[in-house]
Amino acid sequence: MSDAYATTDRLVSADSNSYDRGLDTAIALSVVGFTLGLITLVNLVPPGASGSALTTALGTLLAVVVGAVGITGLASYTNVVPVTSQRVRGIGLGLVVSTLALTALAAVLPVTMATLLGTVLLAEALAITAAGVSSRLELVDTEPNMSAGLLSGGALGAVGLAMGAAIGGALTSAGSLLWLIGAVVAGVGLFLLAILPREDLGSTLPTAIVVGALGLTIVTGTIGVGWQWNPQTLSGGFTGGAVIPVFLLVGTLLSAWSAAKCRAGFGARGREYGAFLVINLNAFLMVAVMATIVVFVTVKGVGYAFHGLSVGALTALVLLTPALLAAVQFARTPAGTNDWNSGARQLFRVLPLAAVGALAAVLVSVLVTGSPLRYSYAYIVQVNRQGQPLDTALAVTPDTTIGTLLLIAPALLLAVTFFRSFGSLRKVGTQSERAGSIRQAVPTAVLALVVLTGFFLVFGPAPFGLPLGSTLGFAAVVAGSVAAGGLAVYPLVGVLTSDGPTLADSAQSEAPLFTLGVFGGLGLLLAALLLQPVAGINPLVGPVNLVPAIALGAAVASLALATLTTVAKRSSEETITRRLLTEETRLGLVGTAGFTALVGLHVAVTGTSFNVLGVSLPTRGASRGRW
Amino acid sequence: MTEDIPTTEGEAVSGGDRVDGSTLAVVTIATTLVATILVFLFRPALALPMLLAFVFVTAVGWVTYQAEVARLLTLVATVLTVLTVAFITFFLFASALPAFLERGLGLLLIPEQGGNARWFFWLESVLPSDSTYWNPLSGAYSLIPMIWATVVVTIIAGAVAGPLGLFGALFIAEVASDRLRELIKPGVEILAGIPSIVYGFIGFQVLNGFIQTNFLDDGASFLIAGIVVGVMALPTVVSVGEDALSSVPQSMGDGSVAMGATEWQTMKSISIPAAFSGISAAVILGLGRAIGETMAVAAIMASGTQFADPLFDIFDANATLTSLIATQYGSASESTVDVLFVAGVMLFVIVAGMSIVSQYIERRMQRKLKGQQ
Repeated sequence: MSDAYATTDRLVSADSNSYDRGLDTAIALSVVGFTLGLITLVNLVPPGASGSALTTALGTLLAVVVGAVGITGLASYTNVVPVTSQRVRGIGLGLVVSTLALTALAAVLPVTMATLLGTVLLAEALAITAAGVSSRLELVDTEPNMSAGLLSGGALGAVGLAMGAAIGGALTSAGSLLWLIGAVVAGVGLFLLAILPREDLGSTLPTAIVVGALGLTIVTGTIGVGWQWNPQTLSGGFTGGAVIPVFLLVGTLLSAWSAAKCRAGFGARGREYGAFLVINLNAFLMVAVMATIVVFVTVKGVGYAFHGLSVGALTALVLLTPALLAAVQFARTPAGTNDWNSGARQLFRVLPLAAVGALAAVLVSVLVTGSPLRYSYAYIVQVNRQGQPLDTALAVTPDTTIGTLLLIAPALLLAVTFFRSFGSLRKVGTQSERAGSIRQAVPTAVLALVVLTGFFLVFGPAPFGLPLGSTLGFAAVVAGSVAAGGLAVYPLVGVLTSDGPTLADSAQSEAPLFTLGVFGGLGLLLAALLLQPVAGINPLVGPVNLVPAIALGAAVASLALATLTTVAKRSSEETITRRLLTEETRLGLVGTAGFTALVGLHVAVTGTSFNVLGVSLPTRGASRGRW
Repeated sequence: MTEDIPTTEGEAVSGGDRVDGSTLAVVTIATTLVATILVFLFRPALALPMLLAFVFVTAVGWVTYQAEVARLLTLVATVLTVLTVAFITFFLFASALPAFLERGLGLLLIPEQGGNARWFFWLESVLPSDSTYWNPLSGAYSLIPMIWATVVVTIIAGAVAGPLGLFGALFIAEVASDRLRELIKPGVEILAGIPSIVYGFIGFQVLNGFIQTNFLDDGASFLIAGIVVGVMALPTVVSVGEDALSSVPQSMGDGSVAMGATEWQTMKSISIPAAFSGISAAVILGLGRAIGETMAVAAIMASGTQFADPLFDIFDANATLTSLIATQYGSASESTVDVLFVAGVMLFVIVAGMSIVSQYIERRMQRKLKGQQ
């Protein structure tokens, strides 16, 4: 068994030689060429570009490549995405080197993009010829088979057939069948050259001939930027702008395949590396196509979609709350796995919080300073087939108006999230007799309100001419919501007046009040709230509506409850107490979010806006703009 | 459970001495449903009360004999689905019949050029030919140009979707790491869900200008339509092909690897041959989508009815069978509508045939793989 057979690492690692490094760079150059082919095909950079346009384009590509390789290298260094394969490392380095070389060439020599691309193909042809010959001369340690195989022979033969037909057709006069001879000669020739010699020559020489021919055609300007072929019989024709990139795609694909075979030392392993590289490049092409479609649609549409959109800072802040809480939750534990570099773990841990927090801080600053943020941009609209630029802006205003739905949705989401993380407080603490009787009364009260709602729903707010809605309904709503407010405050009062030795003990012994207060309060207030529109009433206390005022108060009380239990938890040592206090905190947060959602729900169902402390929940027009 | 229900039904049918409650419930529900349908057809005003009666009876039955009623309801849903599809098929064929009877082979007129019938795969010696092949006023309706347009677009689409899709399927099934696969596979499937008019619009907006400058084309062409339809069929090919490759039993590949084969040798000699029929089914399904694609093609190519000249001119443009229907039905006369139905029948037969073939292939492959396990 030869040394090279031992492990894959043996071939490629410690004693990495110039053969390996060179081929890694050749593969990388093919990948760069493939990418440049795609870029020129879609005319992002025209094949005729030269001078500063070309240098700028390649400089941009260099920046992207260096950035991507650098980030990957950093990720590998910190063990976030460990890259252990020497081949991948070599190709990564090769990408930087070859892009740098191309940029330097473009800056120094007076070339066009097309010539540069042709040079890439010629360089590839030389590289794989050198690799094949040095392997044949046993200068490097490879293990080639007797032949490159029928599969690659057939593929190269087909390419040769097409090339021979094209060359023959170009050299002979129209109408003669001489192009057929060219096709057969080239096809059979390449097929035989691929399968007859030993694999190291058979899989490099034919490829080098094809790639070199394509490169020469471009470099010599036989098919240049302005080239056109417009046959009479077809409605269309071919131009250099399309043919050169296609040549490049075909050529680099072939050279990458061949170079990869050389790199892995031919034989079964070489073929595997070659095939996988081609499959990967194809996948890259597919992903690029998909991404292009999505990006294209987005880029085209996003300007119009967001034109003239302005959003109030408070609304944005409310919408940001779930993200903020998720970021906080994410930051509670280190990110990633134990293999990661600890610095990277901490970085990824705080990154979301930093991003969302910075955004929230900006929104708060808008609210505090009262000066709006404006991102002005222009987009082109087609008016009578004429592009007209329209100036518009995306703005964040110091508006303290929150749309009801924009309040209800995040609040409900948070309430559900907290409730799902809440476990149970059953059989915790001691239930007083009074609390027990209230607990039994709550379902009855809710049921009574629901029955009353059903009654008004069926018979209307004034059944049989009797103004029951404005009397009985009114009383029921007032009683229900006041009771709900009482229930919400009850646990707070209970804990504060309890005679436990510490705050934690009080909170633990009064646990039954928590579930009663939060769930009972929410249920009762919801029932009272829904009774309002059906009975056609909306009780007022002074200038404000009763139900949302109580809901807001209850939300504040629940928040106070959550704060209280958090404070109590800090002073407590026992694990079981700490766990229970966490549950109580979560319950308090369920109440806060739930009661806040009820405030929004009130505005939505009654159609009366609600204003408090300068914040207003209007019935319409949450975000102004042309929406 | 499944055994005793046929016996109760058997008793009911044979007029057994005991008609139990479940039979009664099922029979009542079925009767009210049939009555509801009849009332809807003949006395629509009474349909709502009848429907309410049906809902009530079903609700009562659901509470008392849930299993039996559930069986009945699923059966009814299935029967209705099959009946609807069958009626549509019947209607399609019945509507196409007059045009068939009236025109016969005239629907396949070979266009003439300079007094001679154009070459069309030696069919020109069998089929009739005329210089006017599409003119509703004079009653010339030849579907040959559209059939050929469909064939050309499908071939281009296949050339795009076939190789790319197969390599994509290989990549997802065999090469990609788990993390990458979890990213790419849903991505590909999402791509299949983009509405076809979006593709058509993109093709028209982007590819049109591109092809016009780079291929000296003066308008929309088969090439653009074929490329767009090919990209649309790509997710289907990738997804079904990947399923086929993944359904090759792990043990087969393991055996090959245990013999010292490389992964590529395993793919080449084990996975691909074993999944070959599934892969071909994927390609056929993709082509079926390409043939049936309407919106994208109609958005890209204007409705022409000329015959591509020469046949292989991919820069020409012409309506396909689908876009012919889409662009003509609005302004069509009575006889044109009949011909459009013929186009519909052709599409139906072709696509249904391809679907059946691909299903047959897939089933055969599953049998084969099971047999080797």
